[in-house]
Amino acid sequence: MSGNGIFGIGSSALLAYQRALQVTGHNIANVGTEGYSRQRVELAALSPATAGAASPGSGVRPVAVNRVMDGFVESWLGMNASAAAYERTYAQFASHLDNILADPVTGLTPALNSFFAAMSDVASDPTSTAARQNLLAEAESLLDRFAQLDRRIGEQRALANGAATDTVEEINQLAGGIAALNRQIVEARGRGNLPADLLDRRDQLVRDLADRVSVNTMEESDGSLNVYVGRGQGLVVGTHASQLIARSAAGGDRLEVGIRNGSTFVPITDSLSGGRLGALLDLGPDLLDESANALGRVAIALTDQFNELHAAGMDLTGALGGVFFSRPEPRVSGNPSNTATGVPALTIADIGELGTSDYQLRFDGSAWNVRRVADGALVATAPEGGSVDFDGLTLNLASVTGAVAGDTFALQPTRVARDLAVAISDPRAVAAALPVRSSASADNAGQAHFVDLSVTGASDPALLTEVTIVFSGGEYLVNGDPVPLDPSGDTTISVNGWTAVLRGTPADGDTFTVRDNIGGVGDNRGALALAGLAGMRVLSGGTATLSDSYAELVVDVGVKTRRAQINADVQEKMLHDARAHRDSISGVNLDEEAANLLRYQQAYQAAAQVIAVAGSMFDTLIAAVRR
Amino acid sequence: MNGTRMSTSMVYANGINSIQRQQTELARLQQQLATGRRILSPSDDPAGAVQSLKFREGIAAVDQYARNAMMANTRLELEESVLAQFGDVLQRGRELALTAANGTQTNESRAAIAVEIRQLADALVDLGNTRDANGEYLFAGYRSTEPPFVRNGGGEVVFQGDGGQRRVAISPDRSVAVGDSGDAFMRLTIQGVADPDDDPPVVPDVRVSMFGVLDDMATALSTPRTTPAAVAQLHDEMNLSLQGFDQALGRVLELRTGVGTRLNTIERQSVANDDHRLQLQTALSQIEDLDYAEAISRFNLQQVALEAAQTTYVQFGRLSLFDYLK
Repeated sequence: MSGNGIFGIGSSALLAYQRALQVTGHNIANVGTEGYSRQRVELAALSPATAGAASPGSGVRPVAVNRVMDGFVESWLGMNASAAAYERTYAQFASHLDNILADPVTGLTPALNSFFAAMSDVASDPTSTAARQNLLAEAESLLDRFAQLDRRIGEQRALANGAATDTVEEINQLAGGIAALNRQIVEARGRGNLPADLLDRRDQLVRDLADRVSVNTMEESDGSLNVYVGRGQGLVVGTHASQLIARSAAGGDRLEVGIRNGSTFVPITDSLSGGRLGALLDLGPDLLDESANALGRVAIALTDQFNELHAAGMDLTGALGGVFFSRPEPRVSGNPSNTATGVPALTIADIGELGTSDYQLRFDGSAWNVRRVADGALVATAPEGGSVDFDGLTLNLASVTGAVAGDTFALQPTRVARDLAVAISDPRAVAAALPVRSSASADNAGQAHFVDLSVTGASDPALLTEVTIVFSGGEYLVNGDPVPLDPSGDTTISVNGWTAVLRGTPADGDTFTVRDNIGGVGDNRGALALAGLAGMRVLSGGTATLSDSYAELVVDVGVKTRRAQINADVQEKMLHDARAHRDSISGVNLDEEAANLLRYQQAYQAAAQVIAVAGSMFDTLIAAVRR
Repeated sequence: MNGTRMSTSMVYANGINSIQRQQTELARLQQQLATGRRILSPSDDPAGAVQSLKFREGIAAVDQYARNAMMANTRLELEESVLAQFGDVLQRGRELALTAANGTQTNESRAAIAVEIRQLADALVDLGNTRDANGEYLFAGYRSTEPPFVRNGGGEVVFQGDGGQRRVAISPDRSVAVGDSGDAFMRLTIQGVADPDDDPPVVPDVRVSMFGVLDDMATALSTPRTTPAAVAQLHDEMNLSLQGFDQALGRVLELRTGVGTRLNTIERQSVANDDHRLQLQTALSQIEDLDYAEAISRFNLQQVALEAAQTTYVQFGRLSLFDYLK
């Protein structure tokens, strides 16, 4: 009460220091409250009630209870929280994936090793049924391993999607909380109060939100706080909170996040970044899809190359080798909202040129555009009903009709690791031999002999036809057709789907024969070639073997994991520093509050003394006047 | 960070943080010591993890080559032993040929020798049809489930295998043949002896198989000789047989030399493979295995750090102004 005289001054001080003690007590009580900003009473001296040069002031009054905080530091803390949560989440998933792929026991490498060892054993003992059965068993094991690894990657993807959906739920709850606090704060401001604790709680919610996704905030003049996600999408505007929605995108395993605007769903997946959600959304395309594709690429190289070599061989029954591994064609899935009918045909044309990305096929009204998901690059354009080659693939749109602009297809060319099968069950059907063999006549006088015979065209109908080669008049006559003697010493003869090399100088009249090898069950040349697949550089433009390619995948994931872990450590440190900075401004220090208690207690006692003095002055006055 | 002020909660948070960090590091070291592995999870050392995979692949490959080499060795040693027995049979045949040419022989005694020669011929066919431990015929080429040598309707030994030679890989760039085709036993050439009385004087070479040499000799010895001309012809025939035996023994020697060379190659390559395997194993160990001495000393240091963090936390936490307010 700013009354007259000393009473007024004393009682104003009493009330003011009472308030200060309350605030100090409030600080002490909240030393353990997360997100609490310490509060200070702002005191102002009361001006003199009467004018005049010697008029004393009228005491003190508390003007405001302020939070000690720095808005800029709060924003900085939020940014760091987002970054730290992003790296932490990314590192966690990457490390799981790394453990799965790189383990020396459960990774792909030991299964590949066992399979090729079994193939070598068949080469050592081609007539043994046991060796052949073992090969088939090892083949099944290897395909099991591919499927297992693909399934584990799929599990990680499902976990990430599940966690993302949960996080979206949490974001919605936090947004709702912020909107509710906005309403309360605006009301309190309207009544002239400064709601410090409400402001603290709102700041805490914003911090929790930043942990989950990067946000920008802007304070309105009425005290409400607007929160934006992505590229300026309003999550909380005044007292209204929008709902984020997480749902499966077309094409199955991808998740998309959007904001509901009236009855439309506005996708904002690509513009969301930072925080747990940013990491969970990035993991899919960045890490998990690429890994599944890389694994599938190794599988395709194995199955296709093995089948090609196997088809050029001969089995125990004398038949040419059949399909050994079966694999599905590259996956193409259409958006359910497409107008077009029919599905494009996607086939693998060149394994060496295959990449590890998915693709998006989109009709722009006049042509089909193919975009690579990994880097967003436009890799090919095809007219309606046409076909085009890119990245080792051939796309044929002949069966797609009635497309309108906006129709899309998702292309997943190498996502096959889960759907492989061994197509052979009879051990006699393993083609360990070659269908043809060569011989030189015992009567030959010259030095020429065969150094190589391989099957280059297994489907040639004349493959097993006997061919006689006679050297006469300086050249080889292959069933009568002339092939000149190569001056380098090695003459190559290619006919009927096989290719032979004759080395050395023949004499006139020397005869050579290439004929069928039916009955040649002890022949292991086919098995040797199949075992040699382990060392063949069939991927990455002819630079990588099967295990090299898998090792590339392991290195890739390992490096990404390491980088994420290092980033996570750095970000944790930066987050800690930001928290420390904030706390040094806004945090409660008990020793400081204890000192304040003492100070205000003394001030209160002094103020009480002032009133006592005023009282005794009054008593003195009354005593003086009483007569 | 504001250098002059620290909140109470920050004080405790820092203390707890330090303790947690030391505990985590201690737990990691403990895990390393318990498992003996330097790399606990691949992301500890991505490059090392991949190298480890490559070395394991290399070791698996060398082990496969070692298996192949052992198998090749067994087969070639069997072939060597059979060829030695071939030599013994042919040598005995040669001795008998010398004996049979002797002037003291009679038709009866020659007939007796013929019986033994026929037995030797059968023995030779049996040797030619030797099977290995897997049941495959050694000398049949690629047609290894059928006996390579059989007597046809006319009693002549014919070869029904083929010229195929199976190879196995004993190193990434070396393979070795694990057998020889029996057609080597079929193609002997005996130079014809020119009879000066003949016109034209050129006598064609005789082509005969090892078995043929024995068969022809038995036939010649079973034929009674009643005229001096017939006896003279017998001498020619025995000469031919002798040359046949010489050619056959020469061929067997050729084959044995080839087998011996291959066995040497396998031996040398096995030594090289063992060395290589040791190198790979050592490199793998260097990447994967823990250096115990270093890890134990780091563990001890880490324990000290944890204890220090815990002690200072307690002591710092005890200091409060409230203790001094009355």
